[in-house]
Amino acid sequence: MTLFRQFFGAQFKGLLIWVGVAALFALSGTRSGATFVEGDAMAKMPQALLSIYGDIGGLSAIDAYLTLILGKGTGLIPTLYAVILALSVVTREVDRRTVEFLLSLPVQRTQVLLSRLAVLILNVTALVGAMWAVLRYDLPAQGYEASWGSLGLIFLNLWMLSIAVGAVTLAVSMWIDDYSLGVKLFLGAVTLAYFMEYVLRAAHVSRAARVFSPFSYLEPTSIMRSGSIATGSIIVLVVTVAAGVAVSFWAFNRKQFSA
Amino acid sequence: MQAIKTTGLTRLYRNGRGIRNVNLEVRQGEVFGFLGPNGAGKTTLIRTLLGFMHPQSGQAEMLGLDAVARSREVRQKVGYLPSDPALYDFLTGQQNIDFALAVRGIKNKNRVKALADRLEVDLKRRLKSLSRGNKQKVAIVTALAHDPELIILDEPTSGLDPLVQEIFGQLIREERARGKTIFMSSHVLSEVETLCDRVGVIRDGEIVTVDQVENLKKQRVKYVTAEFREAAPDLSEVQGVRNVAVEGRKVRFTFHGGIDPLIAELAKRSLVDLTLADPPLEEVFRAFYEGGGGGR
Repeated sequence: MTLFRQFFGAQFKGLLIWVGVAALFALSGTRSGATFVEGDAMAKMPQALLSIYGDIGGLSAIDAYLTLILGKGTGLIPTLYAVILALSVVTREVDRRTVEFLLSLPVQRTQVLLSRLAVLILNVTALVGAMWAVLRYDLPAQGYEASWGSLGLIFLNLWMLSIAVGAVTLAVSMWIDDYSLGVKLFLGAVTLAYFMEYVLRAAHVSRAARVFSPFSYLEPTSIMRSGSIATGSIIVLVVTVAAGVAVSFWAFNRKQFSA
Repeated sequence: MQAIKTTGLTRLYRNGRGIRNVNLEVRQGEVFGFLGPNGAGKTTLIRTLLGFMHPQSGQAEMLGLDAVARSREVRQKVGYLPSDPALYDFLTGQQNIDFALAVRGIKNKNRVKALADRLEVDLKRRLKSLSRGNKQKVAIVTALAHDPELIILDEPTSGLDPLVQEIFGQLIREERARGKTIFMSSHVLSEVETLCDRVGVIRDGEIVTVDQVENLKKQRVKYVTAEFREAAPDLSEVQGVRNVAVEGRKVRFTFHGGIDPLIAELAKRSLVDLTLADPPLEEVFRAFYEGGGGGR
């Protein structure tokens, strides 16, 4: 518990900033909803652009709008935050040499990683939860009712994707001791993957061919239409998390902390 | 029971450096100095003992416990001060120490206050706002706060001003008087001479010798510059004099061994100036290695 509290405390200021930014993004989404819905923006949107988001025909205007904003920048925030958190678990400690202080204490490496993984999951949950809360309570305040169950599932999907991205980052970060390099590398890679997904969709690349594109597992339109997360996506994300965590524990326990 | 016992301990880096087949015994209750030039393997040995690095072969015991298999228990009883300590700089000194004590399950903080008062360090300030010397002081308090049985110090006085070095020296002597074992690596020969009972010398990852401090002192080398009123005499025949260079009335040389014969020899001439300087540690080691060192 001491290790958990210490890492949570270290990340608390960052959490507040990220939650604030995410909530503002979500709020800007809900506040611009009226323009989209009342202005019938969906009908005016070019077909090529609509195809990027999947088949949103038949959805209510507000549901369609939600799939659009969650498939856009709002969906990127938790994954980027998960990357930053994952890099803080070990890489940042190595880079700033505080790992020496930490490991000179009577702690097991497994304990250290476990407590930090718990903070990562908790903080990503808080961030995703804050975004969900803004949409869930600000839209009705403006007189809109959406498919709230599906909205919840979209956020669950986003949460799972963020944890998976965090787990993969954590695993790879065991071989990266330079925090600033890690941040550049991973934020760049995740952002690139995010935009690549939409390029691939615009180019009508099939779902099967996008299997290695992480953001292909974030499917707001499909969830809004079917009311469920695709089983295949759940399996891939869960397996990715399990593999990422397993590799992280394996690598951290064998890591040599030389001068 | 030995405080530290290593048998054939090996941990090599890819470039071939590290420690090789290290056999070392540090007795309980002694202050053991660990000397060696940069890159000799001092820090690697300490890191291997503390579990930061895993040995490739050999065994290490600390306080009777296997340093690898029971590393957590070992670290409960050990205080460690690295050469350039890095604590959490977004926390205050007190918060860093509280964290370390909480992990160790220690609630009594009387010792923290006593140590902080001795070192005159303000624990209420965030580490990022402290000077390097003050950060070092916080690290000393952190390393000693839980009253460890074995204290491992990696070049502990680097960054400390001379006054604090003196206080630190007193602390080490007091810990020794209380029966604690201290294992310290150092570049400062005079510090080792003053504080330590025995010394181990490491070169290229291997222990060259372990000996009493007194024996090491005999291996000491000085850089000597002497200026005479008349032409510089030929001192190359004087026992212990090496590397003689004459420039007019000035003569420079290295001197190995006890200083008395040299002073007696120089006193026979009329001197204008005489300087005796400590050479770089590498030079001392070179002299030490050439001399073969003492018995193990």
